[in-house]
Amino acid sequence: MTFVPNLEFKKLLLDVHLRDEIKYCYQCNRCSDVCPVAAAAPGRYEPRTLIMASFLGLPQLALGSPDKFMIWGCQVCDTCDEICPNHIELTEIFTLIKNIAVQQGKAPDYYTSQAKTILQFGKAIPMQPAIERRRQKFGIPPEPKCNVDEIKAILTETKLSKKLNMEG
Amino acid sequence: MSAKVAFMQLSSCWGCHQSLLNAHLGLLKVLPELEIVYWPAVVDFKLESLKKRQDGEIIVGFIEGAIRNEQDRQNTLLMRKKCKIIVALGACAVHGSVLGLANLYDKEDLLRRKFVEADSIGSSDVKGTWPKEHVPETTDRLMVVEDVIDVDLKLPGCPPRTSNIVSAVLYLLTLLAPPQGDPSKSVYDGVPKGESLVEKGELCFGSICAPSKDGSVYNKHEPWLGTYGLTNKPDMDRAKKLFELLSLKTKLTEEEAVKIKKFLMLALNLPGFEFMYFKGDPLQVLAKRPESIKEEKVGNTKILVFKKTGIKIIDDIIGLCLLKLRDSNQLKFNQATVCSTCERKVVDKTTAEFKRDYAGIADMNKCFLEQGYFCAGPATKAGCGTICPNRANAPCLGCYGPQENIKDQGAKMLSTFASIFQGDPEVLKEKVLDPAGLFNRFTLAVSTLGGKIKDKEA
Repeated sequence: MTFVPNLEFKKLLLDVHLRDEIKYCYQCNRCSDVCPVAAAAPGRYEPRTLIMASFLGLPQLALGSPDKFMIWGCQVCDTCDEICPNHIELTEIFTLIKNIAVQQGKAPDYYTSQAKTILQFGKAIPMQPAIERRRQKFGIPPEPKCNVDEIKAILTETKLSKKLNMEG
Repeated sequence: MSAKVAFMQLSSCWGCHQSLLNAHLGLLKVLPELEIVYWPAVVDFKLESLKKRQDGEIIVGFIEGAIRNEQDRQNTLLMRKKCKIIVALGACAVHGSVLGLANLYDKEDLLRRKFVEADSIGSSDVKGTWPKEHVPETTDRLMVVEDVIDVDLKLPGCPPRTSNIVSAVLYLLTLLAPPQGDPSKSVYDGVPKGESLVEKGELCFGSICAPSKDGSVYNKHEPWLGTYGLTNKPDMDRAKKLFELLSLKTKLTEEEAVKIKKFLMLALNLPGFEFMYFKGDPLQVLAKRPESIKEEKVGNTKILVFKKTGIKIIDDIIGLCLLKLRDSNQLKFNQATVCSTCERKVVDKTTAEFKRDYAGIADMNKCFLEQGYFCAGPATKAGCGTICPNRANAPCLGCYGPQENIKDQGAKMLSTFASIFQGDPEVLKEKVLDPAGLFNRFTLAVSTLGGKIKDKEA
């Protein structure tokens, strides 16, 4: 059966979603109507179906396949959160699913590579020789070295390296 | 194992089935899980085959349409007998829709108009022939499905949005999934006496809940909220303790209320969908029709009647949870109308004129009501996606019907108009030619207006 709900996930979802008010989903499509990603990539990303899958406890339906962004299309711009008539925090739920998927090693490479870069170089965009040369040309002092070891230590302590399946 | 489903067709236009078929390839995900045993719109199963099914054999029965004649009534009763879950699909089945406006007329008048006076009836030798044979008797008034049988799930809309129907079907399929917990045990089995959280005075539902099949261990620091559903073998001593603990709480704190809500949602596997009204969802029923759940007494403790699991102590605890939620005002249930999903700007919430739909072209950015057009948005349930006002520059007609806690959509809209209309009331009287048809367009059959009944003697 494809439609066996993941009960542990439902519990986690409620921990994020049910804080005070009970907010049921209308499936009214307002989130998909305003979503910039859904407009740019029709058929590949749609918050409404993702929130449906989450509420039903079927997070597997929200994870992507090669031709679809699905959950990874969410850029956390919060437009859907603001428009939702029932004030459902969709991006919170999507972030939860993303985190679970990353831990299970189901995240696509393009998603984790950025985190790996930070882990390796201490910054999201490492310095490139071309930029170094340009800085020299304009007389800007060389870029100060950042303490990569310290960042690595923090990230290892927060278990990021473990979650990304790259030790050290 | 696939689930048996049946789709019944009463007096209606088949539009709701069209809406379901609109899912196109989206249906492919769902279809392998379904065994369709009756669906006149799509497959050629005879009614006899449905009659020969065993009672309760079909898991879900969808009923589209309203009850206009005796055959509709018989078919509805047949569906209730054969199906475990009955879904009223579409505005006709739930609210009577435009068909319900016929209730403003007497049955004789209606039949005469249709079979004798209608201009479209051809040659004069046919005209005036009142069909008596091979036609089912017309009922005195139009009824909705709920007037005849118990309905478990109501899915309004004319038609319900494709996505709504598919979501509802998916939810029903998740209900059919085999239990992932082990209902022959309780979470507290194996927890020594005095070590469970409930004995330490904390709300923990382990005594009436099932553990997971792989035997997930009870965490002594975190209350168990029913992740793997309810058990068949509750830990009686500690369940009684939980009942006692709950009954002593005069007012729930916010934290406790959230715990109870989570427990109910997890243990009963509630959908969390608001476009449909599901009778099996006590939170929804409590929020929208609190008066429909009666009170009863267990010993000296008042609880709300909840009978579903068949195990008294579990039913009692859930009933008590519901009562505490109701009485402590902690059941904060969000509900939205079409207005909450509308993009139009509302400025002063008044209008000085009343325009008919066809008069001029409405401003795309301004609220319809402020422009003087009739729009049923304020009294209509959200869920449709607000396609008419946002996309088509057409006011809401109210096809999704009222929110469950609004008794009469038409009356609500009348009072809305009474409070925003600044012009001469006489003008309004003159302009609104058919108030029942305008304010109760989709809901007359279930409205307080009822219908016309002719005195037999007169």
